[in-house]
Amino acid sequence: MNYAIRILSCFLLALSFGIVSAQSTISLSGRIIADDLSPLMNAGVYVAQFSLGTTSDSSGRFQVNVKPGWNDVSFSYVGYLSETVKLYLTRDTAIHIKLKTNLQLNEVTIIDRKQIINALHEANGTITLRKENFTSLPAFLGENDPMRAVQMQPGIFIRGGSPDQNLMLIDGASVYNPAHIYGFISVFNGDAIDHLDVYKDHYPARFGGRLCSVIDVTVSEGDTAKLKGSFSLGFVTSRLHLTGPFTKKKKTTFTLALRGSYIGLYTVPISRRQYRASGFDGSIAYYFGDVNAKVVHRFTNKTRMEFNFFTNNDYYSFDRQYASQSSNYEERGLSDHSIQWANYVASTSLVHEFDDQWQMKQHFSFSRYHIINKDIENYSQTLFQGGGYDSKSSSKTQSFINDFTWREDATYTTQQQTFMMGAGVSALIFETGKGNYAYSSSNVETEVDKLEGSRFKTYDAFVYVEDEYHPHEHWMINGGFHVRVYNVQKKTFVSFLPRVNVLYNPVAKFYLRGSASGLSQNLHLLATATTNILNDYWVPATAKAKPENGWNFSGGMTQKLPLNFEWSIDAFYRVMNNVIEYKEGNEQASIYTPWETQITAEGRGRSYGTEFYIARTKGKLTGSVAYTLSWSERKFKDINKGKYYPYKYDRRHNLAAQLTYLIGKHFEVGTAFVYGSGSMYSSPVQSFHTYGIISSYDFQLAQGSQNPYYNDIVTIYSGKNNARLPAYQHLDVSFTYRKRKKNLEHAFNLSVYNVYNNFNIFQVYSDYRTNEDGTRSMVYKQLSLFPVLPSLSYTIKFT
Amino acid sequence: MKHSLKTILVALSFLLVSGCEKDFMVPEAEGASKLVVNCRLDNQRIIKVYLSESTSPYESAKLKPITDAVVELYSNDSLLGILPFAFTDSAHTFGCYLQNEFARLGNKYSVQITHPRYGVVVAQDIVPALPAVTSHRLIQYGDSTNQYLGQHRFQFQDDASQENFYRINIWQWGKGYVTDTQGQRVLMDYGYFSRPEVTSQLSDTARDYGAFLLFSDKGFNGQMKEINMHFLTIDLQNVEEGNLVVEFTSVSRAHYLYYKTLEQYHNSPSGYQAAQVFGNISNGYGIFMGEAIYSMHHRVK
Repeated sequence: MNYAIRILSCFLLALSFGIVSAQSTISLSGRIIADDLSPLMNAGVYVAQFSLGTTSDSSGRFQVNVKPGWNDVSFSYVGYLSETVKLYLTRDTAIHIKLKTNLQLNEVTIIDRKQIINALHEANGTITLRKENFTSLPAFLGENDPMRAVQMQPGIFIRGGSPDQNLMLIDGASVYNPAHIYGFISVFNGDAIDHLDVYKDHYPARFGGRLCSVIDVTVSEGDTAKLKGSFSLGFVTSRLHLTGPFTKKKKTTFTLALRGSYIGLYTVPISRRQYRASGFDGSIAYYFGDVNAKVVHRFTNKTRMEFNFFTNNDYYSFDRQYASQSSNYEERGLSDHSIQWANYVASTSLVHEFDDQWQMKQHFSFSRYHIINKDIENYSQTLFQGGGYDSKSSSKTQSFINDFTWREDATYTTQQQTFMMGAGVSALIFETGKGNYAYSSSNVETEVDKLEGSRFKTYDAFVYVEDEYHPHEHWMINGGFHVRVYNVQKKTFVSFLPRVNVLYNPVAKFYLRGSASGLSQNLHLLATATTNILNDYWVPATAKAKPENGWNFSGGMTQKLPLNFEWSIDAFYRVMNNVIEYKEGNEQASIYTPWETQITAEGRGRSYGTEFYIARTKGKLTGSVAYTLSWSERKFKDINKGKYYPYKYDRRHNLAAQLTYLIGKHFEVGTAFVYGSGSMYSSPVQSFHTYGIISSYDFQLAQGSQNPYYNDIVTIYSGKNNARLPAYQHLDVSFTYRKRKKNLEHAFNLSVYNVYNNFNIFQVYSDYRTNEDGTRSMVYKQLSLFPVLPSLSYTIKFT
Repeated sequence: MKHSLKTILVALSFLLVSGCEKDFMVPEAEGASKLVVNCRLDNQRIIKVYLSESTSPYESAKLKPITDAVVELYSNDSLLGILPFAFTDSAHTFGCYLQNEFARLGNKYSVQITHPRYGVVVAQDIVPALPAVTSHRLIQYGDSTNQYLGQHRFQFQDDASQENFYRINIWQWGKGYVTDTQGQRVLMDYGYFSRPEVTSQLSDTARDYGAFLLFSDKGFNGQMKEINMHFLTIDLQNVEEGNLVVEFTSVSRAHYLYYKTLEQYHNSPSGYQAAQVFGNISNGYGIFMGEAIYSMHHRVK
């Protein structure tokens, strides 16, 4: 292990010394827009005599480094007439280009290599979502959530994986719990996000550490022209977004986005009133806030440094008081539970371009996720004859992950290929269930137990080599390998993970693709049976719960159709080894027992399925329909008699559809529908009496008793996760009115979430119901958080 | 306008948290009722086969003994007889199928039950040989001077040819004086069980309802093993006749797995899938299990 780390350190050191001084070039930047003034994303910019090129971002902006003197610069975009301008440049220059629609364009013969590559990238299964993709969706609680746009794509969530098997990155740093309100809104603020890439088909070798997918979120670098911003006031959330340059030289830009939710102001009084109607006193409160900040400083045209900070803080509490009275006594009780969870992410990157071909990036990040649970239970019983009993208990536990990561990436680009290599090291600290438990009663003086929990330090190092090769304009091959070395409890695990992805374009606008990826991950998520992610605990791979590894195979095809339509079909198969699960009968994490003793390890998993997607991506009417049919199963020696069973996150059917229509210049109507099969859970099928064999009456039997006076009831399950909860579904609509006046844009948004008021399950728990004959029978109760939910927001933007 | 806004806000707030909780059933997961067979075969009690039927887990579970089944009992594949049903209480609430003999050590027993509704249900198990106890001694019967702590020790030879499973039960019974409601001292039978606390090293253990101890021979297979244990005794001050019985029992693998999984079942948190209780009934539920009891009697008063 030491030898491996030494080699890795030398390699990283060699990379970090590689920065050299910049050559003499100047920057050509600007914006490419269509004749209707809308920005053109992924438009090609090509400087012919120097074979330089780039593409525009979501706002149509581009930046390319050119050499002083004459430059022939071409601008092109599919469906638009290309434009070539001849520029004599002596200093950094900014220009705006307007491209005209080529209405006669039937069959385009693309001669720009960059465009060919872009087209191939679009078809290779990676999903790139930009701001316009998520701002056009109906808002939920007034929010345009980037992750909702992800959910509109096929194969999300994500090919039968569990939440831990998806790598969530924000500017290269890991985010461990990307959810507000138990997953209904992501922590990614749409105002701050430039774009996000979702890799679920193929896994470029530069990524590692997870089994299912990579969601790579990039925060906007900040507007270079002038200070811009927006302020939004909504029913349950408000947001502030500012972006612009820091100085007149505009070398330093920033993005700042703040968001706060005060939904608790409504839930506390309303829930209190409802509880009182039920004979209780209690309330539910929920608040959250998040901050995105990014500063980019450009030392030269070739060297820039980025600082990124992100945090979210969520607080949820539930308290309930009750009182009852019988003929002999009066009893009172109080339950107070609160959960606070937060991510803190800070990262810095230094990017340097040595020349037109070599680029290098150094990245350091810190990511912390913590969750704090507090519980208070008080009970008192007062006898009318005098005397009584009371007890008080309280507990506080904290679990966290601290992740320190440093990585180096180098990129070498030629006409034929893009070669990348890099390495990195991560040190992670996992602490689970540390806290205290206090108890006192009439009979017991206050006892305070310290809960030690479990603490692990792990070290994770990796190197990778990746090459994207274009042997022919109809072919793209991305291959490489990723090697990870993981150390925990003085034990070292090494994973060698080959990756290959092939894309073939046999005829115009039709693409075939296939990929195979070796995958591994060095942490696990302990998933409870029926509840939400906050009952799921992150734990590291250990000597007992070894690192998960597996393979993903996928294949598919995409075709671009006339009138901006496109469709795709994909199929995938994934195998996973060393997955973990709670032991049978240990479906809920106990804070009093080390988690390693509660699990069964070395399980196998498999997920497979197929995905269909059709979309119209441009025009006044846009929309998409994505359907996924998939299976996800697990197998453990000690669970379900060693047979495969459906995994908690098995979603057999997943349908997501959305439609957006622009009415005139000011109105936009959007609608979205989501349907997903319910989660799997274990439901009892029968129960029986142990009548006749209880040892407790052995004595009576031995003494000749004929009446077994006691028997026990055993509940039978036909198998683990033998039942499926009702499907999750909701239809949302949104109406937006935008009015632009000089530098100000006003937007009024009215959205209705869950139009037909479907009670989607948030949590399920078992309870008892008293029947008319006085007997009690078991029922399952569901907790639903959001019925039909209109929201209104007003946003003002200044540009 | 102000009033309208307030009305809208209240309405929206109400919608936010209203109707968030409701009952729902999952009838599609509910299975068919099956015959339940419960039987312990041992060398000290007559053979009793208890039959009942399983019920929906969502209904109040009422015990429904089965009285119209044909129960055939076999020993080493030979038919011992068709067992008659007999109620075991005067109210005719409980009952079982009886074979008026003890189980024979080392024999394989099986039962075939034919029922008009549940079809044919079969089960089989072995009644093991008696454990080879070589010595035993009651070291101490506790009283007020030693916090009523009893100590017992015994040795036995484990059979190396197979995996063995054992259990220890401790019973205390006899006759003692109690004061009735009129303040009169009355001589009555008493009976208690005690939880054995074994200080010798054992692995693979389980508790039968938190009390009696089951364990496998893992760690001492084929060896002579000494078991030291202590247990709580009773106050003998008002006892006329006191007995202590330590039962050391060889149990079948099915017997051990049943109690091991039953313990896991009872330790499962409420509201989640419980550990599955082992059963060996084909086309039914329950347990058909053998044991061989070696009793160590001690008269303590």
